[in-house]
Order: sequence, then structure tokens, then C-alpha cells
Amino acid sequence: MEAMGVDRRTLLARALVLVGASVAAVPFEALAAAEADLLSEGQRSTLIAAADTIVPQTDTPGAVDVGVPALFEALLANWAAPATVTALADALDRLAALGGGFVALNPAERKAVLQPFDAAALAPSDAPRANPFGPAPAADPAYQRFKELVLTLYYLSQPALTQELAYTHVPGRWQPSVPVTPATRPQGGPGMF
Amino acid sequence: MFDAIVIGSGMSGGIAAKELCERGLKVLVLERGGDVQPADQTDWMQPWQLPNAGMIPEAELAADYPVQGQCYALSSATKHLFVKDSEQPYQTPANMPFSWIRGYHKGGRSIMWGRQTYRLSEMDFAANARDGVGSDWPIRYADLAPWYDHIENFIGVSGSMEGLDQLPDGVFLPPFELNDGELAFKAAVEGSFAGRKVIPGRVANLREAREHHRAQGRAPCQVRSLCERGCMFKAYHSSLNTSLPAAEKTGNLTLVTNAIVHSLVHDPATNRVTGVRVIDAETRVGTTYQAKLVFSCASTIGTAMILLNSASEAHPRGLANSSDMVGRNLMDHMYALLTIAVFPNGPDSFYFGRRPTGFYIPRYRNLDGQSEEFLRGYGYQGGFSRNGGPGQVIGQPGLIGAELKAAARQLGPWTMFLGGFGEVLPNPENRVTLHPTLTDKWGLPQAHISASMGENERKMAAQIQRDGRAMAEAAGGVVVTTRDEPGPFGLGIHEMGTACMGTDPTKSVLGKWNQTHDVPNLFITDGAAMASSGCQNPSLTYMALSARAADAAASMLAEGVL
Repeated sequence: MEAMGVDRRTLLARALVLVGASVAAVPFEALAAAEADLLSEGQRSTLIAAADTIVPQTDTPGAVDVGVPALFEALLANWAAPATVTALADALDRLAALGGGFVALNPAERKAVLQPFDAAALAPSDAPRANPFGPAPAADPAYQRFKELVLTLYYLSQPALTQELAYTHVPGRWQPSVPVTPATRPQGGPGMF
Repeated sequence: MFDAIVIGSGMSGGIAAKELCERGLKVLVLERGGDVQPADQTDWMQPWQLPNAGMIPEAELAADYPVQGQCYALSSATKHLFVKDSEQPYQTPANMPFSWIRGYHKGGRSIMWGRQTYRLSEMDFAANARDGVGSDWPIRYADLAPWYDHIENFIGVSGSMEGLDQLPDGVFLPPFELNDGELAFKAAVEGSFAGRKVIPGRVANLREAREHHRAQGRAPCQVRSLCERGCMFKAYHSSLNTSLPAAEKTGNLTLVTNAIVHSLVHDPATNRVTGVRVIDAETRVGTTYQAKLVFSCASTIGTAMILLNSASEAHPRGLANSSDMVGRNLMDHMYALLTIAVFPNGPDSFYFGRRPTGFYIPRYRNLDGQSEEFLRGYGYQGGFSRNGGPGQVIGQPGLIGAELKAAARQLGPWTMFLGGFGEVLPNPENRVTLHPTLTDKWGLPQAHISASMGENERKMAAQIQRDGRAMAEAAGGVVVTTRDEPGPFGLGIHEMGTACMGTDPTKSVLGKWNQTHDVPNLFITDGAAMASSGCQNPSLTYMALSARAADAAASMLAEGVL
């Protein structure tokens, strides 16, 4: 789509620059998929702000640095069913209203309003558990899904897997017992084990 | 004219083809699916390269994979190895779901299999006779033991020698040792419950590559646990990695893909199968291939469908079905009887690598006669891990920001999953038939699968879950998830029994050499042959039966008795 003579990809790149991300880190496919345009500008801004608040840059890259917002939009375009898109967009709208306008808050203020929202949204519910390996049912399933997707995308990224966790694609050996030290990190990766 | 036609290139067909080729027979393998190239293996994909973070698009999953999606191994990196349910329909009664997990391509499900590799024991082969249930196996453990040796040596099986009668040792490579969480569990279980053992899972992954493995271009397992995506190191056994290359090496193998078997051609004058009618999956052109003998390794339900669809004047109920047992006695293992527990006081250590297996608890019920309120028994597969990462933080309300990242860096507590595998009795009412009206897109009748668990299974499932909780708690675990019911029939992906072996031709389909009682040059060596299910993962037994039968068939052919 063309908006004010600027395409979607450029807008996304600008939005990322606003939160200090390097566009070079964002997968090209994800940028292209964002052109499917399933989120409004406001929802996109909320997505970026929420991802940045859930997984901020610290001594390691944060969610925005590794391209989570663009990857999330790619999932909306390529993976999510229409009902899921609607539910996730609705969750973003609810986040947008936090603190009288979530995006306009500074990072500390965003965290201060998102934390109690998150705590209430993820409070356990009595709903039946669909997947024994997945998270337990929560009060706000749409927000739970949103956060799960943000965290999944972040922790499957190369920077998170190699800097936050200790993923090795080809371990090459099985050591059944190694000592735990302060440097020990979980192995990460897509499998259960 | 071929010497032999092998229907199916999967776990059983690959071995049958290899053994027949190595005995000098000219062999045609018919594979209903397409070819698989090394590029179809996706084990190279880094986690960040997985399409859609490993997830299949929701609409596609619902439309094309409603059954296959129940299998843990289905992901965006493996979906090309599973059938689309929408393209390969079958029917069940509305109240009897059956999960038929399938892969139609060269190598079949041997590419995505779980690789757990266990022998049946004397107790298992004697079980039907002892209990008066099903068809008495026409063989006993001693008949199959040398063929278990033969297969284990060829494919490479990692495991420990334990000296257990109910789970015979084999020709093993060194095991993937238990981690410290599992060793603590082993000590607690073996100390608290007499007769129970916790041993390393026996698995068809090369802990070491011996000379004959290296000669096939196989390398030791790299401990990645990406097996269902294929393996560039050929470190686990599949038809693609081991048996089909061995067959090709003889120069005696012809393999045709996209060859969907319609039926077998039977000559009533000689009472021999003379050929196999095939439909090309892409062009729909029909072809008949001729051979002196036929091995059906089309998988349990596939083999039954071929026999039933080969009805003729001489065999109105289907070929080799004078007993009316073809399609009956469909079994699986009770599966997804899960217990998940965390161990807050587990050992303060970790491990390195992603093992392609975990631990195994061999059967311990009804070993010496009948002592339970159910027949037969069960074993468990399980594993301990310390995960951390996103799984550690997703479920924690209010955890965001730098604190979330710090928490995800921490090793999680030792967490155990424990999955019971329960023996399902042969029941003639659990059966596969040809649907009377519905056909697939090639005009072949759809399978109608009607199967349900019985009272024996219900009693056993309850005991499996009681024992699972008791063992977890005895080891200091806090149970966080359990299931009361097994998963749907079929989801164990151990379907078997639809052309059972037996001593009595009026009550079974196959004799002691996996030869049909009715048609001497027709052999069946896939899961259909099983007279009882044991509780052990069955692929090793299918392969041992295939090799043994191929040896016998080659001798019979040479002697001119076929």
C-alpha cells in the first residue's frame, strides 16, 4: 500500500528507528510481510512499544532489536487465522489504552502500567488445558497469546539464543552431567527437551 | 518379470528389499508417495530460520492436518513429510475417532519415527496362548532372536545391557547415559518399588559409528534431537539412510515412486499371486507389474486395504482372507498417558547436548503369571530436562522487562515427563474395512476404521497413571500435569494386527514365515503381521520379521516351492 507516498516497509523502518532499533537486524521477509497491512498505525506502534517493554534492551538486545515486531506482523500475515488476527489486534487496542495512551509514555511509565495489566491478564483461569506442554489457561487468552508469541519469537532469534541462552545447533556430544556455574545458561531451541 | 515385488519402502519394506536383494533376487519396490531428496531434510534450519517460528498456518493446519496435527513431530519444518488429511481421507464411526498418522514418500514413516527400539520377549510371544486371547503366535522368542541381532547390528542401536527377561538385551552400541535428574529418579524408583528398573532409552541412533555404519556414509549422532527433520549425518536408522542404500548397492533394486497399489493379481489355476496392479499417483495411468513373489509392507492399514480390495471369485472376502481375519484385530499402544512433574530438590547439575532419547521403564506387571486385574502390562518412556528460557517465564503473571530476561536465563528445575505405553489386546471387532461407497481421488475405496479401547485397557490406563504419580512422588516430584485417558486410538502410531500370524489357518492370516496361509507366494511383514502388541515400540520386530521372512522366501524360491 502507499500512504502519503511512503510504503509500508518504510513506515515500519521509521517506527523501528524511533525506538532505537537497527533496521539491518530485521529479516527482509518480515519487512515484506508487513505490507499485508493487518494492523493499523496505532496498533503497530503499540506492538513495538509493548514488545520493547516485555523484552527491553539490557546488556543484550531486546525484542525490538531482533525484529520481533516485524516478525510478529509476518506471523499475522502468514500464520494467523482471521479470528486470531482479530483477537491479537484487540489485545493491542486494550494495551494502547493503558496509562491514558501507552505509546506516549516513557519506558519506565510503560513498564509501570503494563506490569499490573500483565499480572491480571495471566492470572490462572479454570478453562480446560488444551496442551499439557503449553502454558496453563489464563484470564486473558488473547494477551497471553500475544505475550507468548513475542517471547517465542524473541527466544528463537539468533541474538537471544546465543547471548541470553546457550543454543548450539550441533552439540556434537552428550555429556550427561556438567556442573552448574554462574555462567550456565539454558540450552534453548525449538524442541521440548 | 521381477523375482519379488515389495509394496512399501518404509520401515519394513526397506529391510525386506535389502534382504531379498542381498540374496540375489531382482526386486521391485513400489512406493505410493514421491521421492525424497537430501534437500527435503530440514535439519540444517537454525531455530530462527524455521518458517513461522515452526508453526503451520492455523487455517492450513485446520483444513489439511486435523489428524496429523496431533503428532508431536509435525511442524512447519516437517509438514512435507506428512500426508494432508484433506487429500487422503478415511472414515470412522462418529464416536470412535482413530488418529491415522501417515507419511507417503520414499522411506515412509521411517524418516519421522521416534527411533525407540525394543525387543519383544518370550512372555510376549506366549501371551495369546497363555491368556486365550487372539491368535497364538506361530513363533517364539528363540525364532526371532537371531534376526533381532541381525537388524540391531545393521541399523545401530544404542542401549545398556540389563539382563531382564521381559526386555531382552541385544547387540548394542553404548547407551546415551541417564542425566543426573534421571539417576536420582532411578535410585528412588528402584529403591521404592521392587522389580522396577529405570534404564537408558534404547534408540536407533549411532552413539558410535562402527565400520559397517561408516561404510554407508553414516556418522555418530551429533546430539541435536532434530531427528524428525531428517539427518545429514545419517546417524539414525531410516530406509533412506540404511536399508534402501544397501538394497541399491546390490544392483538388484528397482524402485518406483508414485505407485499406488490398487490390488494384487491372483491366478486361481495356480493359486499364486502373479502381479500387482498400480495406479500412478500423478498421471493415474494403470500398470501391472509381475513377479514370482510379493511382500506387502504397505503398513498395517494399507496392507489390509490391498488384500480386501483384491477380492475375486476365488476369494470373495478379499485375498488371503479365508479366515475372515484380514482387517481385524487392529491394535495400537495406549499413548499420551502423561505425568509431568517438577523436582524442586533435584541435583545441582546440568547436561550438555540434546539426546535423541530419554529413559525407559520396562514392564513390571504380570511378569510371573496373572497378578493384576487386567491382562498384560505396560512400560514408560520419559526424560528429565532443565529448560529455562521462554517456557520458564511465559506462565508467570506480572513478569516483564529486565526481570523477565534475568529469569529466563536461569536454569529451570528438573522437570520429568513420563509417558505410559500400554498393551492393547487383539479384538476382532476392532477392524478396518473398505468403505462401501466413499472413494479417494484415485477411485480406491476409503478405509473405514472402527476401533475402541476395551475394559482391559481402561483398567490398565488407570493403573498406569496411579503408578506414574507414585513414582514421581517417591522421587520427590510435584506432579503438575496428568491425563486420565489415553490419546485417541492410533495416536501411538503403532497400529498393527490386521493380518495376524497364527498357528491356526482358520483364525489367522499368516504362518510362521509370514507367508499367507491361503496364497503361498504372498508374504506380509509389516505391522499387520502382529498377533499381539506387547507394550514395546514395535518397529524393530517388524524389521526382524521382514528379514527372517525374506530369508525364508528366498530359500523357498530357490527350492522351487513357491
